[in-house]
Amino acid sequence: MLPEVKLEYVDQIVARYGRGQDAVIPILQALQKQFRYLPDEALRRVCSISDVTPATVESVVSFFPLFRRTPAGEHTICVCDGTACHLKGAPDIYDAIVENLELGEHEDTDKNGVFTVKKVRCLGCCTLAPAVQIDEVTYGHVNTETVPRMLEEFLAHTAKPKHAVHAEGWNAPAAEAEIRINLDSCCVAGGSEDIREAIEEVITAFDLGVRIKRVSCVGMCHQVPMVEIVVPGQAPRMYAKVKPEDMLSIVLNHFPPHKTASKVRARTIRWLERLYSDEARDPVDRYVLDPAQAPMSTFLQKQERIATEHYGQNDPGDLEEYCRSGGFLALKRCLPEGETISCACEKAIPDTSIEPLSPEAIIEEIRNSGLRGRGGAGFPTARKWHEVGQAAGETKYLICNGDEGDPGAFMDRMILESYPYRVIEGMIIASVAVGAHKGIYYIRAEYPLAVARIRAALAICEKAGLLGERVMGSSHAFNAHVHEGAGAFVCGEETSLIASLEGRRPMPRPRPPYPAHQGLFGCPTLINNVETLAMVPWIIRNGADAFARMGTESSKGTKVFALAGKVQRGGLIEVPMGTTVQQIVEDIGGGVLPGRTLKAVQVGGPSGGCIPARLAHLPVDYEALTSAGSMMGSGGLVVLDNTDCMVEITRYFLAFTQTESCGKCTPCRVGANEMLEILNRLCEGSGTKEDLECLETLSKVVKEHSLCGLGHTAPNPVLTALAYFREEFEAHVEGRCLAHKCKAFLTYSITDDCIGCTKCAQHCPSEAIRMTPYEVHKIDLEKCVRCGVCLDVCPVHAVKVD
Amino acid sequence: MAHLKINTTEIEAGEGATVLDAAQQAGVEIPTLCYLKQTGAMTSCMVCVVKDLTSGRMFPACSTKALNGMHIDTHGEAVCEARREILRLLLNEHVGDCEGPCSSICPAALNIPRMLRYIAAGDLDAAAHIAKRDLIFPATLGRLCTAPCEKTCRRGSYDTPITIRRLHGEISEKYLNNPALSIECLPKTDKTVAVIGSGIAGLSAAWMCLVAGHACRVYEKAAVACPALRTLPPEKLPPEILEAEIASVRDLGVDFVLNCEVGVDLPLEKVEQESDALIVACALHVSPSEKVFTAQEDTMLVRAVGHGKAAARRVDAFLRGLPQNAIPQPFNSQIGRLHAEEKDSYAVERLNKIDSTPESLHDEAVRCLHCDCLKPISCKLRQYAEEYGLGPRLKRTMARTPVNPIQCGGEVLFEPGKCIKCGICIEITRNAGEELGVTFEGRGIDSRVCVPFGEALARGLGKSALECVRACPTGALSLRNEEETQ
Repeated sequence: MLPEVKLEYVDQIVARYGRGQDAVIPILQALQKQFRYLPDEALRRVCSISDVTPATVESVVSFFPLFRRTPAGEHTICVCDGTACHLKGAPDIYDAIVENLELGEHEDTDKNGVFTVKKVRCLGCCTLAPAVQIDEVTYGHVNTETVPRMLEEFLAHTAKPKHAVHAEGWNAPAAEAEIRINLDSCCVAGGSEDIREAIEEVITAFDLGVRIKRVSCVGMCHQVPMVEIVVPGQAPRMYAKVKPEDMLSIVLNHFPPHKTASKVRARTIRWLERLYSDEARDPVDRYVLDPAQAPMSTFLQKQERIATEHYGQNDPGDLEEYCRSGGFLALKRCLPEGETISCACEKAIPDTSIEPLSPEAIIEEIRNSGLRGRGGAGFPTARKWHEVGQAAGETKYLICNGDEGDPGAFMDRMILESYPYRVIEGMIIASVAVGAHKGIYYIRAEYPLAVARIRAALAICEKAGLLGERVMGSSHAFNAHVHEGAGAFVCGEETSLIASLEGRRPMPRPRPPYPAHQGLFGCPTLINNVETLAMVPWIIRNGADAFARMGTESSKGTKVFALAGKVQRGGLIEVPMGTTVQQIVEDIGGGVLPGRTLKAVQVGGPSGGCIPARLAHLPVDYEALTSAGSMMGSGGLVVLDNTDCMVEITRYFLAFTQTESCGKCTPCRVGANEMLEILNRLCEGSGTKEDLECLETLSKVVKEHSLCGLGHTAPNPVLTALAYFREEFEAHVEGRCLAHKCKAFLTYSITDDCIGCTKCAQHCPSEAIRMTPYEVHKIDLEKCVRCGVCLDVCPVHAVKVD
Repeated sequence: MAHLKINTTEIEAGEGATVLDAAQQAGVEIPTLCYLKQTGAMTSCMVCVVKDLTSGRMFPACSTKALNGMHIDTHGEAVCEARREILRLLLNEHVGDCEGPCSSICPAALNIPRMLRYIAAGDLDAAAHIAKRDLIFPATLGRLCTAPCEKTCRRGSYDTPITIRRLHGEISEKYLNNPALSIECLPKTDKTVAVIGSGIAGLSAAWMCLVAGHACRVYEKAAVACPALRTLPPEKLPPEILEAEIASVRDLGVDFVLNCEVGVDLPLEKVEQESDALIVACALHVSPSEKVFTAQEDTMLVRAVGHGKAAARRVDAFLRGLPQNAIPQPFNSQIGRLHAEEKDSYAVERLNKIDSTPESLHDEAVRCLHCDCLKPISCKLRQYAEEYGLGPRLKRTMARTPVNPIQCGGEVLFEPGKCIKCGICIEITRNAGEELGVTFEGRGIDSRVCVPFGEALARGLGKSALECVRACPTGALSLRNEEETQ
């Protein structure tokens, strides 16, 4: 049942968010949350009682795929089509859901109005690929066969949503011994919440008095769910890929019950469990990970932690703990000299005498550190700060750009979720340096937990006197709030981001004037990426030199990457600049699967390009990557092996930028579309030699003449793939796919090895295989949809692909 | 003040001036589509791309500030190539016909939609004038033409095609001996053109040469002009019709030399000596030279007219010392065949619902769907396409976007397919404070201009409608009853 459209509710929303045009996106988001779609009468009401014009509403609503004008089902199924999920079969999952819901063409909601299905770009759970989110529940490693079960399971559990990621409070103060568990969005999707419940049950049942501590992301997404048991005086033990049923043994092993009754009960239960469980299991030996031993050591020790300092140790929401481990020390150093510096958590901040810094000196320090923007382009941070600092203007704005739209990258989300105070501290320091008093966190609405944690952290900071009219009691005033983005890649572009904050359709404008001089509402505006800001406190605390010692000549410090794709150990990593692509893939990622070979690494997502295996010695460095035709980008690293088709992957990236193009300038709007058509033709086997030439010409036109960064970089995947893997494109023209990936070129057949077990016939989704028990099966190529299920299920490898 | 160079001109640009302003100051015209002084730079079309030779960068002139030391190249090879590519992209996206499919297919390029509009408006003088101007033998063709125009007429996919041949034939017969059809010739040159052969192609060539201002003499070996058509039975072609139309050629000033077979009665060399150019419109073999042109006769008469007109155009260029490739060939964007599912949406608002097969000229003419563009002259996209050598026809390299129905708002017509998404109309309605205005909807390749909440076009444009039509750089916004005729 759809909620009734009550206009009084519209009035309330407008009253809450204000009547200005800049309130339009928050108003629309609130309305959509209420009604599950945007009814025309509600929109008209908004226009009649606020400054928002009908033209603005129409252009904004239709721009963002988040908003919808037709009623939606009760629950929304979001099929992630980010890079990692795409590689692992997301399109098939989507088709399976559509089939299961019996949707017709152009339909997205089932007849009973229960489910609405849509594709989304990156839920940021790349290591659980393919992932599906239904309302707030995330399912990882979904496959076409588990789809019906997933939907049933969801409906069975809707009565009590278990994994609601945004409904959570902050943890209690630290106890001595603790069980650490990460509860960031991707870990929750991997089942951490179930683990936490299981641990809680054990603790309550045996009255253990141990506290469960939610901690920041370790980055070892390939091992989730993970728990770490810390007992003072003992080395911490880490357990990976645990299951809820394992928790009893693990917890009791470390924390034996004290009370006699509990002891007896525990012994009995464990004995019973051994008796009844299918297999005798000894979880402790099976799951324990030792940080000192390979491969964990190679995963962790090649990394350097700046943005992700204290990973896996601190509670993201615990301000005192943040302060105890050096937090807000850097800010203290940056506040006006000679003023009383005090705040609620002062006691927690170590009392070290540090030399105070003037705003100019802060910028100088950042300049000496060599910090460059981590959002992609690598613009020197100090220069930006200097420009905004020098710009004339009473009001200046500071925007933290957390509109991470790159499919396959989730660094910003993790930093915001795991280290909210670090980002806040970096932002306050920047505000002191440039003289800004208003800050905005622009965070994707698809990151509900990041939004919730930053909001909560901002409230706590305000209460503690770290934000407000007197930051830490000084004369510096700084306030910040969160603005939820509505899901458009182009909003990562500064001028588009500003347009959307002003309540306009997010179309970029030419620069100059740069936002530093003419930004939000015409005021000087500093826009920094989340990761950039997260680096700032460390630099101020440890000194520019310490930062500059890491990295290469032109790229200093560290960079956080989301490592995903065909690699054994994916996850979130932070490495010093200058680390080679090879080191990342081999040492940290553990290389590709056995029997496969590394083909290329796609760096920088849809704006970047691929680095072929033979160039894997390239260091992570802005200039080195750019010279290879790729770019640092926001930090997605997708590993491709010999089973991946470069033409297909290029098409995937271009399809992304094409749908994300705002449509303002001709080269990007039409050029990218034409490029995509050519790539589609190539993948479908109807491409020609002229198409390849045309593709190259178009790439150059789009790259050179587009208005903003999205268009400038959109052809990068095409250009690099053409430069390094031209033979694959040529093979497609000749009717072959070298990786045996593109369905148009594949024929499946069954060899005489077939034992007639009928498994393939049972699993075939298109009834292309008739069930003929004990006989060699045959595939009807007319009906075959080339999904490869038969290949996977055949027990005797009798399915052949040509 | 900024000191910079536009091509070879050094200029001082005022404070805040853009490169486009500076170029204007230097008297250099940079093409623009989305730029309008009162709405400012939109920076969407990117046609105004220029190159700064100092920095080597290319950028849109409309929104780049003129800076000291710039050396702007406005029409260099690289710049023109970039501009051509951008125009090509715009045209790939463009869904509209510059000329109606009927006119496009007519070998003699009869402007059929305009002729029909005149008939519908009751202005038969003007309609007959167009028929005469374009077809030269409109009454004869009215009897004999194979009418390829009727086969492409889009109206045919709903009910029956417009009977175009009957219409131009009937009105032309009414005007056979009417002086109202005075055809204006260009001022006389001192050149003489000889045409050998007085078939339809030869006479059409002669007529067009005369219209272009050159004297013209036609040689015919028979005793009468156009002997081939005289053999037809009178019920097929009444002799008086042909006679009258040949007479009109003579009346215009063509000198006929009958009973004179060139090469037999008169040496070819003599004809060549006496004329500045020669058009061969018969089987006679003439050794090629730069002053010899051919106009092939054709059993499909309208094609013969086309050949004659084309030969005359080439002769005219030759006589005026222009290169042959400078012959203006108007760019013609074409939708092409409508897909089955598009037919209805195309016809919405265009279809004039007259059910019975109409008898009167007027009733027949109003059935026209007016597929052609109402702004064929002022459309900047068409101008630039021609200027940058993209025509006369563009091979689409991208799937054509589906045809969207034409929208009517009072006198204003809006054809979404012709819109280049410059945003000028959006800016105009916004600045004028229109209650609804128009705005962009969707994004990327699917973005289009619409009226909020699906309201009517007239409500969206409000009192700014006329201004929007005038400012629209293409034929996307036009006035129903205001046709550019030049």
